[in-house]
Amino acid sequence: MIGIIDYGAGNLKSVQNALTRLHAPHMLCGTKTDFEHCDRLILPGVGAFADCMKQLEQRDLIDAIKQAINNKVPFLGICLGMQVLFESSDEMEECEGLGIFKGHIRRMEDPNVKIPHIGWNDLCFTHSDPLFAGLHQPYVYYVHSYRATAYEESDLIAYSTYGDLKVPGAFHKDHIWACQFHPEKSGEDGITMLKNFLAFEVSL
Amino acid sequence: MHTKRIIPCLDVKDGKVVKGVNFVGLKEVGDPVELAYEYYRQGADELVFLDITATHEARDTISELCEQVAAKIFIPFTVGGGIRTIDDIKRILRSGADKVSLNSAAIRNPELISEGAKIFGSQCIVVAIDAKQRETKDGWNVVINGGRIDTGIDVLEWVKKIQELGAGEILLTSMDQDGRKQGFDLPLLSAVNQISDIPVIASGGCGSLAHFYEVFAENAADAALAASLFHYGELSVGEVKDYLTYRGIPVRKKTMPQDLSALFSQLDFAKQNGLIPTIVQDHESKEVLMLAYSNKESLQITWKKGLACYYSRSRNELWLKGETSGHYQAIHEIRLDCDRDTLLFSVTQTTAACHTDAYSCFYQLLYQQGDQ
Repeated sequence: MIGIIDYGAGNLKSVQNALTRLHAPHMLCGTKTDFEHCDRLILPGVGAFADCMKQLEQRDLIDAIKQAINNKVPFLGICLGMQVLFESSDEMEECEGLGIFKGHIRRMEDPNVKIPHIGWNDLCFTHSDPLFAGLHQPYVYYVHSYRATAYEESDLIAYSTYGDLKVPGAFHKDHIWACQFHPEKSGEDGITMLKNFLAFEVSL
Repeated sequence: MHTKRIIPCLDVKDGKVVKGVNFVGLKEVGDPVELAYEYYRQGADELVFLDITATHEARDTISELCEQVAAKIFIPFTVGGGIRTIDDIKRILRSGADKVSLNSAAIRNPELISEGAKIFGSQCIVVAIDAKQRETKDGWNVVINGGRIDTGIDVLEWVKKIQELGAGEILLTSMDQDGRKQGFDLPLLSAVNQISDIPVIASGGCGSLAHFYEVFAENAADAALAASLFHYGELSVGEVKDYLTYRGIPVRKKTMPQDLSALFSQLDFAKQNGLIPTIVQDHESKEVLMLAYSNKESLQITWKKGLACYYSRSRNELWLKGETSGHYQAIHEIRLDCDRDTLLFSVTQTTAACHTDAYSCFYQLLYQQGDQ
């Protein structure tokens, strides 16, 4: 059972639709006890960093997430769900994240391109990764104004270029993946990535 | 590389696509879900549904439509038309749309933009602006109700205002160009794009492949929207993307046809009794190697084997090139010309293309300028 973490915001429907398309059983996880039924987790997200952390805290989900990650439950963060896996963000106010990945979320600055960054970019792989199995030069859909900085180079598995900016596209460490882009809105290539995430088996 | 977006727009009334539709192989003509899926398959980057349902009671049909579309296509889509309140926005987004487009309601109540952006995020608030040039020709005014009411608001002032209010994108339609098929309104779009920090979607007036190129080459927009061009099958999204790629505009690559029927549906077999002239070119050197003829059967073999197969007019039979000589041609690309009646095979040639063992069949020189 795949748990989609529900913290009261964000567009969960498109992730649900993508999992339905892949015939993968899924449920919304809004409470700590919901997590017990899930052997794989997705943290989607649209909105602001601080709101998301506040909501997770109010619903008592922060420990549940950390515990699941400690228990080697395969985990995928999408967009804001990726960003909160980092140490901190300065969106609106300095705010601590979950600190699963090393690095900080900072506003993108490039006078020559429009921010927010909206639309399709090609994705350059820095490592071959099980998430990208069967894919050749995919294009992915981004909507964001902030990006990860000061991350571990070894965690980065793909990036895109926007103006002069290097936009970190996806990270992978152990059984944890995180994408800045929206695989659930990136056409058939995105569906393939979700399928690959579902196929990943943790070797204990 | 950031790409330019191609966005088909569907006008929906009571759950049906209003404008005529002319696609081969669609189960139900006018079914917006089928049509959306066809555009998805062609490589559309996003879709826009414009609900022109007149009565309020029928509005639930658009929510049902959103649910069906969201379950079938995995690219962003926007819904516009008749959205007046925060509850309307919530209903549309909850049913699976990624963005809503606000038009006259945003003029009447600009707080709808700021409230919507605050609650749902700027990324899902598209502000649609219908613009008409002032009679004095010194700028454009925002018009509403299909151009019937001039609000007296200057378009550029409105663009500044909606950005401050938190709009995420601008869908800019030129009422002067809309429906004329003479090209996008480049002066209007350029003026808006220059002062806009958020993406601008060009709409109104597109009538040809060159018009898509122009709007991007002039850096007048981030995305281009068209409706009837696509609905009537005059152009496919894939064709637009191939053309833009060919002219150096970055676009997301279209999905290749998965089966032969998709390929066949694009070819004009009737023109030459089922035969398609096929020019064969060396993939590396670009040297022209030969001219042959394809038919449905030979294309099936070419497709299956990845090796060029033709129809021999002299022997009246299928001819897998290289089967007797060993001079096979491995296919790299198959291209189609503008009027869909000639193919170009880009190949790697084993040994030589010509039966005389010349690399190209065109070894005979008949004329050369200045050499008489």
